[in-house]
Amino acid sequence: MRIAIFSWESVYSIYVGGVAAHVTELACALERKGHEVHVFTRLARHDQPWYERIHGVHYHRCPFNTNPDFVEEIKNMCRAFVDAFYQTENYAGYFDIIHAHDWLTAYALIWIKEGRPRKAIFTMHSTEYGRCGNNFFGGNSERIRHIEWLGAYCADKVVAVSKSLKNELMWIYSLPDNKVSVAYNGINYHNYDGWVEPAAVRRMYDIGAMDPMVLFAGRMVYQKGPDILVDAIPHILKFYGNAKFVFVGDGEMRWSAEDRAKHLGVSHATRFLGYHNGWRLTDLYKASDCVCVPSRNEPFGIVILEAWSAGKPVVATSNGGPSEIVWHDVNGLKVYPTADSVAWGIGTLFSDFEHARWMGNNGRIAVETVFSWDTITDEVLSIYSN
Amino acid sequence: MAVKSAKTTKSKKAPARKGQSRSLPGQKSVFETIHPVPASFPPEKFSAFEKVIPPISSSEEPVKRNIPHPPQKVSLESCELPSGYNSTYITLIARDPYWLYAYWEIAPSAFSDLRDKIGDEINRCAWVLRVYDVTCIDFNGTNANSWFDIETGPSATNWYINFWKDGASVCAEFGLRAPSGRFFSFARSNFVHTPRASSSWRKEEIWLDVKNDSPNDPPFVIFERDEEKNARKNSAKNNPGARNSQNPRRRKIFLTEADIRAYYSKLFPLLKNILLRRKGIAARGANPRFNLKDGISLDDILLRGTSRGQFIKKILLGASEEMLVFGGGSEQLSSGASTQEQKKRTFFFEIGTELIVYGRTEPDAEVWLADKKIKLRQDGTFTLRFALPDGKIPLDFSAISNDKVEKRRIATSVERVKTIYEP
Repeated sequence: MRIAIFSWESVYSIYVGGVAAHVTELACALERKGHEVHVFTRLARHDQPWYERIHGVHYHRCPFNTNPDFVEEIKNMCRAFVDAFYQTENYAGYFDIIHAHDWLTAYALIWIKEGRPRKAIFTMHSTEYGRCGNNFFGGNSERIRHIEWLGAYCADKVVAVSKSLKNELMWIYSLPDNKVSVAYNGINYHNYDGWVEPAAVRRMYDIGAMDPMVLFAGRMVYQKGPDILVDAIPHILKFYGNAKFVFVGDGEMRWSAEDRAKHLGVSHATRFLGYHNGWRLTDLYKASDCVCVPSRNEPFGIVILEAWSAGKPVVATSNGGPSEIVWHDVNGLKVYPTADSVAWGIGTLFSDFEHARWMGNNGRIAVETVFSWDTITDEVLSIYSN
Repeated sequence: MAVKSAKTTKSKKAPARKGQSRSLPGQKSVFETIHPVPASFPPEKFSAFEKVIPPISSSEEPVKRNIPHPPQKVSLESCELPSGYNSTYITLIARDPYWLYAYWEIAPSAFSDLRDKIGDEINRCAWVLRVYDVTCIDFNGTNANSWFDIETGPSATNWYINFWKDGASVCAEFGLRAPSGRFFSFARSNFVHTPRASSSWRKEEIWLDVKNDSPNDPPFVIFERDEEKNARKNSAKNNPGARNSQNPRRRKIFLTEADIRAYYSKLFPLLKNILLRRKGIAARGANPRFNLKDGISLDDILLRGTSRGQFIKKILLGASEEMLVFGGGSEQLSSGASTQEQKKRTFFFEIGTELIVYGRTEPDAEVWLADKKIKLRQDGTFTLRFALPDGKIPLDFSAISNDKVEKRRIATSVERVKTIYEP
């Protein structure tokens, strides 16, 4: 099959969040299974080539005009994608599948389907409602919701990254049940193999070797709930006075979260590291005692898979994806998105480190069983062929 | 600087020294030689004492010789301590937070060595006790926090030092200070630490959970204020996440790796098909939950191992069930996946054993195997079929006649021993 994947980010252009990892790994895995995969994505820097073949996958980096209106700029991007797609098709032959990721590329899918009908798959990684922290805002948010609806309406098949996201889509955009399928995110867990000295990693961030350490990894936005974890810190410090909380990630809530920590008088126990990626983040995962995912709305939660790959238990809120993939008390704890409940979860893990390590190992087993990209790609291929 | 000279309290010692120096008439005292003693110097005062209290042990005392009983009465005063041991040392003692006591001795040889070294300048030097404040430092002779000199004179051998700081580490040296300021040290003292004059500045409470039976606990200290402690006591029941030193919660969950894999393989509707495909069994249709036989679905066997009900069936049926399912005999009671692996081998050899017990009695009688009643056929015969694993199986049959009068008992046992000769 010749497959075209549209995404506004990828590991080899602009790396923002979970979509980049999803698209890149999925393209690679499809390629490994013998399909011809073209990824249409943004041009990150002008020294990047417009076309490149990486690990057998064809990457088309498309330049486009900027616009003060974000939605209009995204539309420009989609026009660039459509143009590049038509050119590629004229040169290489018909595509069997067009696969768009998130609302940002929905217009590319819609316009291509209008011009040259192909089998269109639309993967939703989250909804605008969830990104706003379970709110229906007006303005641009309303326009984005409309684009999401249009993309889901025009696509032949909609893929959600978790069952809870599927339910959310069916509720907000009135999609029929048989149109939406579920394909979880995966992870390349071999990236987390190996051992690092936790004390050495902790020393880099002024954390004692024996201090209980909690890691928050994710965008610092309202959806991900870093403020919930900050509010939970005093409750935990009451019993574990030397506990440390490391926040990795950036976003509009970073400064308010830091201020909140200072206001509560717990800033000594927090480390706000900003955006980290690659080996630094991997080392932090390996050095921590548990990973906290206090999201208000989490479509899937790749953080959980990353924590499990590093053999760490998670404390995740029971909203969305984590409620499906976490087995409570076996490889993580499911809590409510409130400070008290998060504090309970972390305190429970700290009260029995032996049990926590056992839970982390179980998480690794789960990741190795189900969440490898080859397994996920089998799932996606079956959706393609349905 | 409040330095108080120590009065040589042992008044008897000073005359003794005088007497000692007198016992060497040809040689002048070292101290007198280099430092002319002023008229007001204490030894002159002591000489006045000498007249009042003459030393009892003095050999020139004619009165004691005339005592008719020659053995002298040995008293503490009759034994005299030597005034010096001909060694060079200084010892420092902390008396209380603000007072230190130093005593020292300079051997004549040390002094003459120094005189050989610096010559006549030695006569212009002052005898000083130099006191160093070495609090919180690794003292190497020059890096003291502060120091001061006490001019002691040549004949003083001890000194009370008023130190203005409590809780300090102090070290002292005794030596000669040249007019140029150069200091020639004879001896350096030990380090002493003066005690604190006040209560400790560490006022916070340190709470440590003392546990008897949990050695795995992290060794850290919890700082808590009083009100927090009370709050914790109140909320301990409500907060199960809190560490409870009295009842440490130790959860035991018995799950194997296979259980976790099985649980997660259920997450995907298609994953079971994929796993089955990987195991070499083509899944028929979209629904993998098709039944093979007697309500046993394939995924039950593949993914969940042997359930309890199945296990009982296996015991009753022996190897025949797997024969039904997979079309081949296997003695193993494990999951069917292993059967598939064995099929790939080119050569195999297996043996299964079953046990069949049969007998007959009156049709209306009752037959018991141990405490289980066995159902008889209409003609009074019965057949029992068991799996026959390795080991000894006791079979204790008893038959009771219909009118409960006669009872017969036959006990037998079967033993199976299997030996596999490895190639």
